[in-house]
Amino acid sequence: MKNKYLIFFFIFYTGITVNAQFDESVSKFKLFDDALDMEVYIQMLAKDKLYIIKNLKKEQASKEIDYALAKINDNLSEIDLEETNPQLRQHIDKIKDFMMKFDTKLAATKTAKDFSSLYFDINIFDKMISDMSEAMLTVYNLDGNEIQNYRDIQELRKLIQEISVSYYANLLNLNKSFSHNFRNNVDKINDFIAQKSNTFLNDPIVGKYFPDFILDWNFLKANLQSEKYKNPKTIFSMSVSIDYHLKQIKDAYFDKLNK
Amino acid sequence: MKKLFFSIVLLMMFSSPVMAQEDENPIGELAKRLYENEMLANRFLKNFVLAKSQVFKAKIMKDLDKSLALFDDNIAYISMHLPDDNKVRDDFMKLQEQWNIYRLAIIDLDLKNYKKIVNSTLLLGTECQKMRETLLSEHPKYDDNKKVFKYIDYIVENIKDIDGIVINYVFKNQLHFSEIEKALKIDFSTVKKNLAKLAKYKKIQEKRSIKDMGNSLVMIENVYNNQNDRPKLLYSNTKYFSRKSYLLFYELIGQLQN
Repeated sequence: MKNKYLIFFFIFYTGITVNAQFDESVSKFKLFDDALDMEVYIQMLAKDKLYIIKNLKKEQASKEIDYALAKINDNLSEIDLEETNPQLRQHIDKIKDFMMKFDTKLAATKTAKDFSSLYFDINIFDKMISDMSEAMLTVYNLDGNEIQNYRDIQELRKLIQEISVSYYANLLNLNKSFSHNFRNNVDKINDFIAQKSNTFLNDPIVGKYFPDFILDWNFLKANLQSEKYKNPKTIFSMSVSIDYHLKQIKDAYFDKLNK
Repeated sequence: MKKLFFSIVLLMMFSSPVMAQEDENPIGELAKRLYENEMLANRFLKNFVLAKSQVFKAKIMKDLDKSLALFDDNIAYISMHLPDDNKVRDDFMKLQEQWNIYRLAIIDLDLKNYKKIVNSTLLLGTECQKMRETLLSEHPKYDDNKKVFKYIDYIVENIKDIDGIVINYVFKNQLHFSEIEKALKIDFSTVKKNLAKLAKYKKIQEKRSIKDMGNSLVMIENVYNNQNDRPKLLYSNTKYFSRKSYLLFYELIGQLQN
């Protein structure tokens, strides 16, 4: 009788120690957050790569690109290891296969001229991740005002990085599409602020953080629109600062929605 | 109905002690704990160097805590399943003493003497490997499971080597102590050969895992050999490789016949 309980204890104990090898089980919302973060980091990576190629803010960009690549990899790994839904698995496997070739192309991109072609691939990659996150909305049944607010903030983070890439690429005369992207994305942020500022400023969770973002954006916008002074270094620094403030807002929503 | 009931009760009374005797030292459980401790030695050193070079320090310290606790648990289990052999018991006591000293040293991140910590880790890993080889080879169920153990050895060697790759990289690029490469003597070709051998093992359920590990290894090698310093990316890629490897390790442990 004693032995039976001892065996049960060891089997149970084994279960605990086996599970102790890995992180605790991950919520579906966390996987969705991972996917949306990947969309931000892929654009951040693009910005950093361009700055590294042009030897501008190189030390900062090098540290940031390491971080961005690691986060893309980490987040994809987490989704890959946790998700078994067949519909999502199709997206995950497609992204994993793409990453292999992308990694090689990223390493081979050495000049500003090569960058346009790389950015084309980055946007394909971005679209794949975005398709996966759209599918997650349905599979995980995510909807409601707070989810929409959270998505808006992630979208802003991504737009800031895209604006930084397209501003500098445009300055370097790389490709006309960068000029078009730049104008489009600046308009999107202006429209967002016009339509939704009040909602966020009055939000009990994020209201205290939102004014910092507005201040930063106004300063960035002034720099972006200045005809006299073209300063990509300032744009880079501002993109880091704005992302920090937006991430505070994002994290506040995440803590609430992940309960 | 009464007869059936009493037959079942009698069957349970007589089968439980028999089952208990067979399960008192299941080879699967013993192997798992012995191999885990062998892999943990390099993992401790990897966490130590990553924490010292500030790469995801909070996560790393959490992992180090968990790993230290796991090593302790395993030592406790192994101590209760030692054979009746004085030499083995003496060797185990020495390992325990070594572990007690090592455990305090590895969490001292102010330690400047890297050579000492590297040598202690190598010694701990070697002693764990010797203990594993001795205890398993003497287990009555060892011969029945020789084939599976062969494949487990490939996975374990890979997990140890991947951690070694991170250790080498951080020592060389972050902590600027490049002599370490000679001490750890790890190269990618061994990991690739082991993956190729595992790919041929028919009893692995998840074939895509081997493909994923192969792709991950390509990315690890690219980062390792790249002139750009990317410790966070290397850590992220090797973490994925290790997690996939551990899943495979537990799958193979589950195939051992107790």
